[in-house]
Amino acid sequence: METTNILLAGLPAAGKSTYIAALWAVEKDGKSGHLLTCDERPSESFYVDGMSDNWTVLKEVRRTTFAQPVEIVLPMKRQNTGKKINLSLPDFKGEVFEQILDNSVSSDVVAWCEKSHGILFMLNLGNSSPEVLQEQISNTTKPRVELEKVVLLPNDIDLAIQNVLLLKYLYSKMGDCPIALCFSSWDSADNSNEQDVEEWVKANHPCIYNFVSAHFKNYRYYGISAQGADYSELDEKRGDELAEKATRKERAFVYRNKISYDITEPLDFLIPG
Amino acid sequence: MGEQVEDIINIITGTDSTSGTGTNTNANGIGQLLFCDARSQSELNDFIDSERPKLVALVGFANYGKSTFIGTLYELLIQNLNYSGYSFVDSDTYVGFERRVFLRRNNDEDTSDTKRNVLGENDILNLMLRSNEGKFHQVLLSDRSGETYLKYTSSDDEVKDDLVIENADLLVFFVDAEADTQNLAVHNLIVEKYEGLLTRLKAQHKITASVSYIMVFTKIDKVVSDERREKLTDRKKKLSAIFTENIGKEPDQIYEVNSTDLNHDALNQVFEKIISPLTSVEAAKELDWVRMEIEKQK
Repeated sequence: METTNILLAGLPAAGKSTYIAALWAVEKDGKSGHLLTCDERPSESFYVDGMSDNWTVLKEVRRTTFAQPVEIVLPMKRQNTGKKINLSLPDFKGEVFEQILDNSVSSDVVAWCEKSHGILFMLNLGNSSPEVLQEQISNTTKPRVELEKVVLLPNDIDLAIQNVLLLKYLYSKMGDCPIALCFSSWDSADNSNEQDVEEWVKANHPCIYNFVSAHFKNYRYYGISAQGADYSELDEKRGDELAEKATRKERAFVYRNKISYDITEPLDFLIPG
Repeated sequence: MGEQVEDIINIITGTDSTSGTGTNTNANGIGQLLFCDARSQSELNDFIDSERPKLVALVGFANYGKSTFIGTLYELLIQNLNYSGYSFVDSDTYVGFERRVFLRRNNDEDTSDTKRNVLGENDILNLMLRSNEGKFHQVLLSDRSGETYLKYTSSDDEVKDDLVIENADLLVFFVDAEADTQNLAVHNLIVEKYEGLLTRLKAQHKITASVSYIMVFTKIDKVVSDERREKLTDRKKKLSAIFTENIGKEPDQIYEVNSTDLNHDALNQVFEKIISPLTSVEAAKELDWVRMEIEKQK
């Protein structure tokens, strides 16, 4: 069976592990009817089962902490063609990508860049708007941090620019490859389901849009809610509703210009053939 | 003489021991270099692709508002899909820009200990822009510390290694309008310092006849009373005469800007002048200018 490596990349708390958890929880029984679904259970699934268990019981998927990435290989099948694919994804901790900004690149990242066909790039940015900018600039003469702190650290960099820097690094290693950019926590983004996601990116994160459109020919934007809701806002009734949605495979969703419960869409876009 | 005026003089003359680097910095005064940080003038040739980039030098003494100006330009570019007909699509120095925004955020208006671009910090920033017609061009900005230019006023040795001003397509000279309209002594000092700088640049043949230059009076929002407006009109004339005499031609334009007001017309006009591409005549200049200069100096 052909193996397709997809680099799952994103800064800390971008939603990488939660996506894997939801993907496995939804697709492992092979009954979703989605573009990609599980063809057979892998010989060993302890790691992803643990992640999806948390997802099922509405608990935060624990953040990856291993120094080395865990390689997740899922035997999948394309529903429309029946083609079988071994989907291979690394579960890196986000700090590994964050260290790239510090000029400290893990050899594991380099190796995955070399062998991956495309990038599943996760971001968690929320909204920002040009109207906020004038207020920010007008307030810049007021001290925002302690006076003695003048050394710039990676976390001081605008979050959208941190993501552009990571994209720039990946582009330098992988060139113009297929890339799916997934904005996580889409269920909590303002007015996010009223417009095309690409238009939303143009309006809210133009620096990302401009960088991507100038460097990648084959790109697609998605809003994604792997959890389906913000757990902190759930009472028992709403929790039950969310669990009920999970049984119908309608809890996690992706969004381009309408909601789709097929969260394999970004992966299907990245897998050739 | 008031305490505030003394502070201004201290900053201009470099006698303010508290300004600049602050604490928690390494020998370069800036902490660790990050991915896509600013570059030095010796790396200018690294930016040359198939076309010669436009080189813009931002010149001014400490606390004249260069970093605030450049930080505002950067934030306008990253926050807008299209600014004045151009999209900002890439930079090899994103972090160099972020540093300037960061320093500006840490400004404290109540003290003269203004955190700013510091002596020894890399100064070359680049912007890759795409026009509405889909054509790409690159702009290089030199944003040196005011202390560097202060050294230029007193030493030929400091000036002679300069590659940026000699090769610049546009020189942007900054003047702190708030300081310039304080009292005559401060104005005289500003004139003296610029005269010293221009004289040495001219003597070292760093200012070419073909260079375009503009003057930008910053912090114009602080010059509000009729009395200070009158002073500004008078002092602008005196200062521009010094420039005309030393450079051999009048400035292309003199602007009064408030770098903290995104909608300020004059500010946006300066930004547009900076990010616009070279004309075909300018672009035809020798591609490898910096390397040629380095070879010449060897």
